[in-house]
Amino acid sequence: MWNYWPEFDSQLQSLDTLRRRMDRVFDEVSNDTTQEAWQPRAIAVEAESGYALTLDVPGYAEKDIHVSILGDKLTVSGERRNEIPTDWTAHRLERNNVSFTRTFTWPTLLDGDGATASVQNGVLNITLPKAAEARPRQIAVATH
Amino acid sequence: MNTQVMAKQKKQEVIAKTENPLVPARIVRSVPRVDILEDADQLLLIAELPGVSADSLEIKFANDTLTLRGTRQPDITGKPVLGQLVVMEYSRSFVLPQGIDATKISAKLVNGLLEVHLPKAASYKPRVIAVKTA
Repeated sequence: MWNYWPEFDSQLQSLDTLRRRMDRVFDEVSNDTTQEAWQPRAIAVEAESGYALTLDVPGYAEKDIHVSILGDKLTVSGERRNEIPTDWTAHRLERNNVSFTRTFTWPTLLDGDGATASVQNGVLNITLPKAAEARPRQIAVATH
Repeated sequence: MNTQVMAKQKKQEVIAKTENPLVPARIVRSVPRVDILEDADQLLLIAELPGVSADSLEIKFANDTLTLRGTRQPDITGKPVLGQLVVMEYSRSFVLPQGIDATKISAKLVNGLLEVHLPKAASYKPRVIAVKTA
């Protein structure tokens, strides 16, 4: 059935060649970025007044981490030094990432001034109050 | 009631259970990432153990095998909106070369990194031999 249309066969073949080449390109790209792709594990919970977020940042000290808030977005970035002293030999280096950036978009606007962040035991804890207009409001019922 | 409806109800029940904060969190096993370095006097193992406190950490050395084990409870409580509240169980073992002085192994926890210092026994340390001239 396919032989009935030999041109189609050769077309398929060239498509296949193209696909293989593309795969190779993607492989190369993904190999290059594996070191950059490390992202800290993050967990967030919600309360009425705001959110709490924890990120695992082992090896990053407080001064290595930057937190910024804009509208409903929180960006956390970190950069650390990872230098092996000259008289040491490395047998295994799995912790080869030295920086990360992670941006979180929240369901509501955030109160940037009320946010706090601290690092303890390699865990970054961030509390994010919701912006005043996003918090639930109690409305007093007036009696006449 | 047909089985499909029952299965659906069961599924909903399971979801409701996991969201209940009174039910213990799911246990997740994790293999910490490590660096292993060596200098003339010792091997140094650095393992990533974020959120693990010193008293929930166990380091064992037996038969040339070093085993690390650490448990971590959820850091926060509440309704998860990203990720899951889980109990993390870190664990990893290493077979070390001979010549580690087991009595002098020390460990400390800094910034979520566990540093295990494994000093070499004296007979395994490099020695400089002076050449005499006749």
